[in-house]
Amino acid sequence: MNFDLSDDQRALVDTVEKFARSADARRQVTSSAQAATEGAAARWEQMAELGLAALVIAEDNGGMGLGVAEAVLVSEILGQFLAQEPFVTAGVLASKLLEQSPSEELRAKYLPGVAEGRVRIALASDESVHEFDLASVTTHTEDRDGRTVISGRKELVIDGAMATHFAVTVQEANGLNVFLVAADDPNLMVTPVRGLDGGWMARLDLDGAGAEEPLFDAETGLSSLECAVDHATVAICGEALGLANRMIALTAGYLQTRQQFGKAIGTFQALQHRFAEMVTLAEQARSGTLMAAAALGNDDPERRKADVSAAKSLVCRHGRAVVEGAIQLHGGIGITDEYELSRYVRRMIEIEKTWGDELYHEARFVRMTEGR
Amino acid sequence: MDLNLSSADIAFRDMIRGEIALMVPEDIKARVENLQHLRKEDYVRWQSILDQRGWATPAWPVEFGGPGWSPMQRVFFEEACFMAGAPRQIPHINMIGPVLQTFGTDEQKRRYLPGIPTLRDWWCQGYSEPGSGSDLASLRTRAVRDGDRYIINGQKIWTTWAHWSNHMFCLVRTSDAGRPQEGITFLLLKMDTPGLTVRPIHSLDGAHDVNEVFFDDVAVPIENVILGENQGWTVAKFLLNAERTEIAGVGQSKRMLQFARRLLAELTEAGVSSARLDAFRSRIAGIAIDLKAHEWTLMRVIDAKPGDPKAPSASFLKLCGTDLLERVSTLLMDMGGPAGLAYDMDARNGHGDDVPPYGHVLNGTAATFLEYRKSGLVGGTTEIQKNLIYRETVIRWAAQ
Repeated sequence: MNFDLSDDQRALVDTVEKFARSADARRQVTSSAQAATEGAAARWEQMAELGLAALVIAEDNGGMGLGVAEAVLVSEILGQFLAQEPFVTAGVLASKLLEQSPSEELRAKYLPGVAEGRVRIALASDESVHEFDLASVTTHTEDRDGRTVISGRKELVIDGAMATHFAVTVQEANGLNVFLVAADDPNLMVTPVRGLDGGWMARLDLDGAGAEEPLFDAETGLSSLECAVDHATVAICGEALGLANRMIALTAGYLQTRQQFGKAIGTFQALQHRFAEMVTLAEQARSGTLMAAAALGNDDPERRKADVSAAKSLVCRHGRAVVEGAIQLHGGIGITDEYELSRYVRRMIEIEKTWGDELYHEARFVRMTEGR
Repeated sequence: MDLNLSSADIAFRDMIRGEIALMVPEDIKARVENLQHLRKEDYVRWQSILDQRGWATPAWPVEFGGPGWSPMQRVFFEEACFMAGAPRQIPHINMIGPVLQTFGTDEQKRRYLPGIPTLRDWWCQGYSEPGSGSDLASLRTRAVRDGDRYIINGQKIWTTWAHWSNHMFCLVRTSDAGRPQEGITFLLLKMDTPGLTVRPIHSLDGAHDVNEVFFDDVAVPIENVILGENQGWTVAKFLLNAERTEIAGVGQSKRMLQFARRLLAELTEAGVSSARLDAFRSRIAGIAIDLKAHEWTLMRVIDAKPGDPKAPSASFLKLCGTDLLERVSTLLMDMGGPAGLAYDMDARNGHGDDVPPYGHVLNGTAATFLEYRKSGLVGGTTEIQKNLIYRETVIRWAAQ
């Protein structure tokens, strides 16, 4: 075990950083879903040219064959620069879903497009807007004119407005499964939903949308889905680390330059201590994220889930503490939407609410660790 | 970055867990699991058992009889000991030992090192004074040169286990010139030296661990100086660094969390309301989660190259470790419930064979809360750690 970056990892980080700097990838508040998503989609293809869309795809499947530790490194940089590209969704999550599919045909059909950034798959799983729960699904398949089709409604599809395909979770008689549906399916209505962070999500109304072969055997559908979402969750924790980095940097700069009572406010101990707490909690969140990245290799799904939930609940809790500290130490400017901090605050809250918040993950952690 | 333990590390961890679990005497383990205080002879007996395996001095290099373990292996050892119900190792073994090995003369090494592994010599640390706590460098216990000896006058306080010790290493003032740090000398002395008096201080839970130590014309030979007159601050800083992994308190917190889980099972058995059990379960989970991250911070600190500005420092470990110890000991008290109204101090201190009315564990829950209020004070207060973290990090962050 060691925590120093290898030469390859260092090169990867440099590549992503260079891209994020040059592409002006920063999350913008755009009034049009189309304008926002077209820009991000174009930049996602550029990122794919650097191999980033295929980062966690196995080498046998034409990917870079790297692990989630590397995905965390990448998403951390993207977070730091507030990038809008769907690395975690169309990259990590889609790759992990497809790679677990026993269907050679589906893998061959979609993985190359995912790796090139042409195919952008968004996970359409949520049906309740009150509580995250992968397993609560009423969307179903039905027979229409001799064809199997999908009907149901999906809410809050992350990166849904820029997706070319949706991985739609469906309740079948013998368990949960996942079907890929093209975004331009005539029986699918995609309604963009504006996000807190200025990005765009989607609501899906499926009314007999075309269904090809499902991704999984129904018996393994839920567990495969959970595994893919766990990978994406750890990657998005990496993004939160990047957001925290930037918020801490902004705060450090402010403490050293803002003058009150004739001196820099960073000379006051109460403020120094609040800052020290932010830095400490961010370090704990980093440790937790690395711990979970290591746990993804664990063959025991309960242990994997426990560790991923530990990390996500830490990142939610500590991420929020960094948000609150940064706002408080900035004073009035901290509650000004025009100031840079606002974008980071909003994005952190989005990450909190993506694939389970602190309450959800703490409860899952309790379920997984009880009896151990 | 490679986040997986090597197979050698895993093999060592499994080996040491298995071995240590077999080595801890049942009566000592029972006292630990009953949340009782241990006796001096418990520590001495355990240390001798470790010594027979060559594991008495985990942080010492091989040339001085240490096992030659890596920092990671030491963490596994420490954890195994805590989880098996062993006494904690007297921290001074890994403090004065490395100090003597690094700065001691051949004569000092020959005289003092052999008694440490078995605790034949028990050392206490004379640092804090009534007027010098966080501001340690302001210490005023004075050593005045008189021919080939020093005459010491003054007072130390919060001296842990001074009443069990036959040796002390201490910081004394030998000069008022320059900065306060520049006039301090690191000195060894025997506790039976005439003029030295130890008086007990009873802690919140009624236990006697810490003491006041008075110096009234205590004569110490000048050959007992380590490194040199007025060089004491260098030695003190080195010594603080030597206890880096210990201050994380990972093993201690894990053990208390294990106690909390056991207590939860007992409360469930006893028919405690489900709302109350759920609240405890949630707090156990919160602590378990933070403890996992804390363990990884410890591994990151261990792995960091010296002087790497981006690596988390020992202050992070201290701060988070303290937070966990405070929370898990508070949880134990809360889980103890109304039973904590009763307290049999003698039973907790292991005097006699009396079993307290509601059993040892419940007797020890509120007392454990009281005992662990010290964790934010020892080894640099929480507030001092935050000052350090601010100073260590703000410039680097502002430049990003």
